[in-house]
Order: sequence, then structure tokens, then C-alpha cells
Amino acid sequence: MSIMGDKKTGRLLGIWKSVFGFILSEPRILIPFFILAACETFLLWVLANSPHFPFNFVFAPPIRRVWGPIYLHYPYIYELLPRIFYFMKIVLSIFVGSLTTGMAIHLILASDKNEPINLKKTFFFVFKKYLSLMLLAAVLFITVHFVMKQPAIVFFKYFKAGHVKLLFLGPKFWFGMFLPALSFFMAVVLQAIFVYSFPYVVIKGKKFLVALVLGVKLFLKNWIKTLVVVALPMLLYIPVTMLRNNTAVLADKFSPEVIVSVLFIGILIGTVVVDALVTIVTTLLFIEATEHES
Amino acid sequence: MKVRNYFLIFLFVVALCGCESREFKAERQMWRAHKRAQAIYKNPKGTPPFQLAQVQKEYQKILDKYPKSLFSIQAQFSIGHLYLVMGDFERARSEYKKLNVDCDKRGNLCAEAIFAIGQSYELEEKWSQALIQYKSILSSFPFSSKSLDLPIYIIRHYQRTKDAAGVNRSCDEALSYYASLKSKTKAEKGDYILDSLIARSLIEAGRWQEAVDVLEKTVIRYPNMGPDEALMLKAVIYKNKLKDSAKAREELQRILKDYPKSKLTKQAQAFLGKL
Repeated sequence: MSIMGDKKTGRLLGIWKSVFGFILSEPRILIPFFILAACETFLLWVLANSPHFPFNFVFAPPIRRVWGPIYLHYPYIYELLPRIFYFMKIVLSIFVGSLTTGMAIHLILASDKNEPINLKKTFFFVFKKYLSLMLLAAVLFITVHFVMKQPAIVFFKYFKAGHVKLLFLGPKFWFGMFLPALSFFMAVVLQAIFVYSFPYVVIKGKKFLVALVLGVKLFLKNWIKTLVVVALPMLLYIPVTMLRNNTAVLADKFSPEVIVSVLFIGILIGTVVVDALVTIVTTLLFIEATEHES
Repeated sequence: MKVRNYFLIFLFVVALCGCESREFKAERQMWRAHKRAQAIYKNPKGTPPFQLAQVQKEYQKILDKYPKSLFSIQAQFSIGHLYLVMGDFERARSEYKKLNVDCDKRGNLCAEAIFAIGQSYELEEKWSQALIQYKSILSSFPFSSKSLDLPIYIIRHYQRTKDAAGVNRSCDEALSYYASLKSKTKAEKGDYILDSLIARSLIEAGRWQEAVDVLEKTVIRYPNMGPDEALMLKAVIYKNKLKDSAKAREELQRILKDYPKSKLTKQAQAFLGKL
């Protein structure tokens, strides 16, 4: 199947038409994303119950030591929840997300070749490449975590040093408008840089380092197309980011438990929609770009 | 082990997660009641009676459900506060009196309850009756956190009402009260706190020369308890109240010379520049 549809390459609409057609013709390729979303939901539920038996045995001591005992009480646990969920989600994405992404890529390949889909076979096939996939996921998430923090730190230090304005504009502009836009752009770029390394492991059977280098090379070769196809689904995550940035207001207006709902919406949109679309579209682009490689 | 067994273990763990502690449930109930009460605090005059009754009911539930906990004390206080903001002082006092606290073990809470009763009198413009309550705190719970600030609170009341005789009298009472407490403490930190409160009482009463004398004593007596702050305070009093810039300069120079690592050196230099 050609992702470019009628060969008028680069047509955005054509790409997405193909992707949605692909999902509709074989919806089972979404199963790995639902598995990951189920794991994340379970994790969220466990963390939301961290002050209670039996999870308090595991979670109460670190929460008490790192953030203080107040965060084991109502409503403060819900205030802390987005932060601990963020860190635990990184761990889950490295150990489970890498596997489900690999499975999804294998299912997309099988579907593209009109081969029968077998989840068990896919799982064991991808499991053999688990180490490389896990290392790639670790590099991706650790890079994202540390790089995404930097602009906020730089701006914070700049304005804390006593500067009132930067390029004639005050901190309100830089923190309120520029930083969210820059964060979105950085997230798109980082995701795009590493996005082809996963198919290199699953489809071409490359090892971690080779896949990493080849993936970056392929991105550089198709950077505009890749950035656009990665950015579009990620735009869907902006409302979730806005909700997450306003959890304090929502908690005050409704109840602190609303934070759990916001995080759950984040899982649904982030994993089941955004991750699925990004993985499918980039895997199809990868198949097309590398079909003549050995 | 079969998949079914794993599933049963999973279900068991899920079932256990309904096990929120009583404390957590009480915290949630308290948060919800406080949330509803906030609307009344914001607009006590415009609160319809049924809304007040609803919030009181919420607090009453906590009282009934957790009778011997701190939550019940908090709920009882809150019911009293609701009547207080609604202007029903008699009911507020009767609610505060219902507080079931062992004063030997929880002196601070008892002091808070008596203080709330005193405040209800104050809001009703019955200062003499409020003062009786405040003095009872001073005599019954001398080392509670409330009683340490109360003498200064009383001085401030007379300052607000522009009663010069009252200010002086209450200041003298504060000084003798803190002096009596000093005789009961043995720790250096306790002595320092009480001397600082004496200085604060004198400052509140506008007895500037006596205040700088006491501050000087604290600088000499407690060299490890932030003497630079006392010196800065002295400099401010000399400059702004006693109009003696030379003495103010002396104090600032002492900070720079004797405490060069102090956080106040920059401030002291800037102050010196203005003198």
C-alpha cells in the first residue's frame, strides 16, 4: 500500500486519508496502543490509591521522604499525582511502551503486506528485539525529559537574576506564550528525530546503535515531511496540555479528584490517538522510503 | 498457576483498594465542608439560612462520625466561625464552648477556643468581656502559642482605639507577663524569644528608647541568635523615630564590622548611603 495514495507525493490530505483508511481496514493494529493505555490507566489508578492499603507499603515511604508527609493526605495527593504519574509513565513507556510500539510497527508491516495478523506471534517476534527497543525508548524519553526542561530553566534564571525584559518583552510573554510554543516545537522535533529508529529495529532487524544512527539519517533526509506528519497529531494533545496546566483551577472549581480524570483523558488522547497516529504514519513512510533497501 | 488464579489475585487487590483510611475519608469530608463554607465566608449577609444549615449539617456529620478526632474539633470550630461571620455571636460562643478538648493535653486548642470566644465579644464591640477571655488565656495557658502573642495583640487594640493610657498600661502588663515567663524558662532560646517579645511590645507601644535598650541587651546576651537583625532594627528606630542619624550610622557600621557575613550587609550599606 502506498501512503502517498495517488502518487502526488507530499499531499498531506492524501497521507492522512491513507492512514485512516489503513486503520479502518485493519483496526487490530491499534491493539498495542490500547494495551499500553490500559497499563497506564492501571498505573494511574495505583498511584491515585498510593496513600491507601496495600499500595501505601510501596509508595508512602518515598512520597513521605521526597515530597513530605502532607502529600499522603487529601487533597494534596491529587496535587502531587500529575508529577509522580509523569515520572512513572516514563518508566512504563521505557519498559512496556517500547514493546507495544514494536508490536504496532510489526502489525502495520504485516497489514501493509496483506499478511495475516497474529498478536501472539508478533509479541514473541518483537520480544526478541526488546533490548534494542527498550534502549531506544530510554534514549528518547531521557532526552525529552532533560531537553524539554532547559528553556524554562534558562528563562527562570534570566528573570530571577533581576532582568525585567528580554528583547523588549516581559516574563509574561516568555513564560505564558513563547515557552508553551517552544515546548510543543521541541517535542515535535525530538519525537521526529527518533521516530524512524524503532522501525529500523523491528522491520530491518538492526541493533540499537545502528538503528539510532540510521533513524536520525532518515529523519534528516525527510525532515520536512516527518516534522509535518508528527506535528499534526500532536496538535490534538494541546487541549490536554491546557487542561493539565489548569488542574489547580479545575480542582478548586470541581473537586481534587478531577485531576485523575484529566490524566485519564491525557492517556486516551496521548496514547490511543496521538501515539497511534504518529506510529502508523511514520511506519508507513518508513516502509515506503526503505522498500528498496536490502 | 493458571490465568484464572492471577485474575482472582488481581480482583482481590482491586477490592482492597476500596480500603481508604478513616482519616482520608474524614479529610475529604472536611475539604468538601470547608469548600461550601467558603461561599458563606465570602458573602455572609447574602447567605440564605438553608445554605448555612447545609454546611452545618456537613460539619455535624463529621462530628458524629469522628467524635474523638482532631477533625471533630476542627468541625466544631468551623460551626462556631460560621455563626460568627453571620453575626450571631451568642450562638457562636455556645458552639465554641461545646468543644470537647482535654485542656491538660491540648492547651493550644483550648487557648484557641477561648480566643475565638474573645473575638466574638470583640466583634460585638464588648472589649471588656473580650479582655476577660484573653486574660484567662494568659493565666491558664501561659506557654501556648496564642498566649505569647496576646499581650501585643492587646496593645495593638489600644493603639487602634487611640487610648494612650491603655497602650501604656497594657505595655507594662506585657512586660511583667513576659518577665514572669522568663523566670520559668531555662533555655537560652526561650529567653531570647521572650526578650524579643519585650522589645516588640515596647515598639508597639511607641516606647522607642526603652525598645533600643532592650534590643542592645539582646545583641550582647544572645550573640548566636541573629544580633545583626536587632542592630538593623535599632538603626531603623534611631533614624525614623528618634531622629538620631549618627546613632543609626553607628549601628549599621557595627553590622558591617562585626557581622561581615550577615545577609543584611547589602541592606546596611544601602541604608548607610541614604544617611
